[in-house]
Amino acid sequence: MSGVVEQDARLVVMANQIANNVPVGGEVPQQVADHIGKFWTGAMRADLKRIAEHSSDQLRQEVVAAVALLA
Amino acid sequence: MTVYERDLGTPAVSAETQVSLTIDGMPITVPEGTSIMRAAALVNAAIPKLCATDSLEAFGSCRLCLVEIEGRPGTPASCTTPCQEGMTVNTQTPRLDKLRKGVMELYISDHPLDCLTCSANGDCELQDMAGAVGLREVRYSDEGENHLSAGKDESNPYFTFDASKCIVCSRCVRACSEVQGTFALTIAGRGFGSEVSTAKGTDFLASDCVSCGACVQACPTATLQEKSVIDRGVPSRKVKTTCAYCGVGCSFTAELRGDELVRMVPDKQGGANAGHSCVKGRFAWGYANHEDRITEPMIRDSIDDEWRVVGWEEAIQFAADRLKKIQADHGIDAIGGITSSRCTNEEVYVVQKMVRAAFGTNNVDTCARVCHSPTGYGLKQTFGTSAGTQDFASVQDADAILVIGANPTDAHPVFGSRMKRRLREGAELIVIDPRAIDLVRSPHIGAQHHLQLRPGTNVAVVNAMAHVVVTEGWVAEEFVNERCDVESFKAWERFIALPENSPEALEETTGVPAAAVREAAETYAKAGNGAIYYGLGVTEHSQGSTMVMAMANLAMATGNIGRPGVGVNPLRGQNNVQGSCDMGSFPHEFAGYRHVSDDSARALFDSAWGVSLRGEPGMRIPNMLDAAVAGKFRGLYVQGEDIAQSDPNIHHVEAALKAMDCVIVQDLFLNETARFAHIFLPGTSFLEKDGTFTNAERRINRVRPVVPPLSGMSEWGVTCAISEAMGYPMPYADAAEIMDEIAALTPTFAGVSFALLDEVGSVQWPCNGEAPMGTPVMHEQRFVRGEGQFVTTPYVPTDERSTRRYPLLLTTGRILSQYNVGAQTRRTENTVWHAEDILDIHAADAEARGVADGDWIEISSRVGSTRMRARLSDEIPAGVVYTTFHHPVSGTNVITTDNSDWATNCPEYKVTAVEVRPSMGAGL
Ligand code: SF4
Ligand code: SF4
Ligand code: SF4
Ligand code: FES
Repeated sequence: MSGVVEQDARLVVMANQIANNVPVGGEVPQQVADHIGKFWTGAMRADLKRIAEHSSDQLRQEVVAAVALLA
Repeated sequence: MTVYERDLGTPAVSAETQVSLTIDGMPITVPEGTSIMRAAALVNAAIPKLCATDSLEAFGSCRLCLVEIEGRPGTPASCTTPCQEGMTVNTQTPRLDKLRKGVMELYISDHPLDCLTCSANGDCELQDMAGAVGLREVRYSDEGENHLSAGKDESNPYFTFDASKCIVCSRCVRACSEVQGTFALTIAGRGFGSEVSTAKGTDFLASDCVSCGACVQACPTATLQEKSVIDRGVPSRKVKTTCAYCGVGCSFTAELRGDELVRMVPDKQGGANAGHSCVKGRFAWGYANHEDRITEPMIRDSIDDEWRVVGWEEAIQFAADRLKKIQADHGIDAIGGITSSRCTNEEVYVVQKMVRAAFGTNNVDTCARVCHSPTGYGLKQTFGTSAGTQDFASVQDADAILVIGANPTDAHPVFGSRMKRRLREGAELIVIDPRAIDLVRSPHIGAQHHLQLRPGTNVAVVNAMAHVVVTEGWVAEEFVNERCDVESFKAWERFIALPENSPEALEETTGVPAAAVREAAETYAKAGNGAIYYGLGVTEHSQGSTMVMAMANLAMATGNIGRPGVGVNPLRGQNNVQGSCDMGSFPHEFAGYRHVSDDSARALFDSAWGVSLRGEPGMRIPNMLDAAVAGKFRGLYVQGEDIAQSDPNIHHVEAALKAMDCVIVQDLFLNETARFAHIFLPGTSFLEKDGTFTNAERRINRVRPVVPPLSGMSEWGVTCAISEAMGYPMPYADAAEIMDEIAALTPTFAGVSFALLDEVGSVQWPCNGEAPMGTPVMHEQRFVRGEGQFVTTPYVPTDERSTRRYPLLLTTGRILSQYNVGAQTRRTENTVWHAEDILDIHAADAEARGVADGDWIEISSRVGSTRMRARLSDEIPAGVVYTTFHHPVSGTNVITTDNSDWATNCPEYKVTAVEVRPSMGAGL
């Protein structure tokens, strides 16, 4: 696996894991977007957007929805 | 010597009632219950003594401390006689002189008279007392029955036991029981034949002794003596400093002869340790002068080249040029830095400042990423700040102690001893751990509840306990209503009361019988003061952050926050984990845990530093490594860490390091990471550092230079020099000036200065206008965030599950005598206790695989495999195996995966699915 592919794969795992673990009760996409906004770099967010555009099937639905909310 | 440094003979007593008396004509008022010996010492009427010392309860065996009390017959021992109102005591009378001389004469007649050549000459209480009572001659010959030819036990690497010098005062036995809580020693025999022996009757090394040295310190003679004192002589000067090993942060007096360290003596006034220590801090400092230490800077063009020793100037310029070139070619964010929890606050602060201000990026992270980042996240969400709630002394007021995923007797030994003392006094103990850690069953202590859960199910167990609290109606309503955000409580209450969170529903998942969870919940909720202590067994999971919040919820729901005896307390691994986090080492936070997107915080730093800082987070360590493999991240400054050994999935780490153009390692030794480095900058040992460490109870302690830096430069000085060479000067005159800047920019540190610490010893942050002397217990009136926030904590199983191919779950930990990746402790004689990492495996699992005790095995996970020896153990349940990660040769992290905590990316070290097979040998 090339480094870039590996890095993308890791971002997918991270984003899905966040969606799977945020507290229950709130809107999941908003919580995912808030978390990613607070802890991810701009480059990582841009990569995630790219992944959501081209291979959204790897991402949980809530993550795809969260990406739309990212600044 | 201040009064506190003197030995006042018996421990201080706290009592509301005071009593007044007269000693040798001098009036004194003391708390009721204080011994006459202590009161006399306080009026400088020191009474001769041998079996008494103020770290131990009075024993009354030597009969040297006799006094006369007007109106009372006889001559009672002052150490065991409490002061009473109106007493008149005489400590010096002809009758007492005669009696004391007689006692001393008997002792000396059975003691070798080699004072002038004895290693303790000048540092021996027996010698002092002979002088104090005016003994000039001994009427008994040495021809009668005596102990003068008794042998020596030299088995312990750090101290000897010379029985011929023993006066059987029992101080050592009592120190081992009362202070350390190990009960390794006893007095064997009776009358004249009584002698000190290990409880097992073996030599010290084979006994239960954990080499804490408390007995050595308590011994009034040269019977128990440090080998370093025997070799180097009695010390002639002292420097107060702080241990650089674990997060307990014990205070020590370094005792030297010239520039040579002779011994480390724990400081009685030490806020964290009150005069106690463990084997690492007291004895394992030999690494500081180990021949492997690199003391000159080295550079090389490529990692395939040989190292070239250069001067500081050349190394610094080489580093700055490379970093600048990378930024020019690949962008500002192509470089970053990692700070170390072993370094001082000041050293850490300048590294993160250099990254943010000189590099112009927020790509700074800390090795705390791999240990306690979930603590930061979880406690900030719920309580408002990233820190333990209590001081260590608080455990003395706990009625029920909940230890989760921590092994205090091994990893935080001095705190472990304090906890054991409280447990012996009757506090109840709940242990939540897959392993039967020592506390579960050790002398005079037993856990009332041991919830031996499956690795990876922490959240399920604590949710189940909280479910019981809520559904049984044990919520502390008043506390919740007054102190917490009630809306969030209600949402949490609804969630936690769901049947799926009941102990019964989760029993199969966790492996813990529902009834045991119910009983443990009741003990914690109803004890009065319930205190939670936790370690890496909580944080190093895919739900580490969730678990921290789950514990915070449980503590708030039961009202166990905001007073002595309660709280939620992380036991930090390395000495300055708390400090390195406080200092702004996380990529998303400035010092004092203010998010980089917080405009007012950024404006403050912008103006103080004269730069325009970035408002978006930088990369965490795993992000940096991933980006490196992807070719986007190419330069890394690594302060005092060995990520190529300590981080998970080593092959991935190595690939990342190999892919970089510039790796700078600042360390004492050529560690594993240095194999991939282009620049090696020699670091300083704690004996050479000037600065502060902050321990797990937020206590800021001074670390003072005992000897000058072997490399000629302080570590902060080197960082500042690189920053300057990058175009951003950081001109500090000394470390104190760095702390002044930290205090000026960090509200919780506003009152901290070296001058204050030198005056009062230590303070616990917050230390500012509101709390000028610091804050032992946090959240007393209100939470830092205002109201305590409940957060729902759904249990989500880790992806790392046992499979047919990898049917066992590996969990990792540490042991007493070694420290982390062992770079220091492996270079001391501590290796006699732990020469290699060993795999603990349950007998049933071993038998199924044809593995016998002591066999070499191969252990493999989906990412790699390694070999080590196996030990059959009943401390772990079937299906679980356990090892430590102290030795690079076993390379435990070759097999740990890159799974991590969902919120912080703290690696999931505590759960790896593995298989174990017999192997022919080390094979590496
Ligand atoms: S060194 Fe510590 S554990 Fe060992 S015998 Fe002495 S007091 Fe006990
Ligand atoms: S070894 Fe030292 S402390 Fe122990 S009984 Fe002998 S003289 Fe006392
Ligand atoms: S308990 Fe920790 S801080 Fe104290 S002496 Fe041991 S290693 Fe050092
Ligand atoms: S010091 Fe009091 S009896 Fe020994």
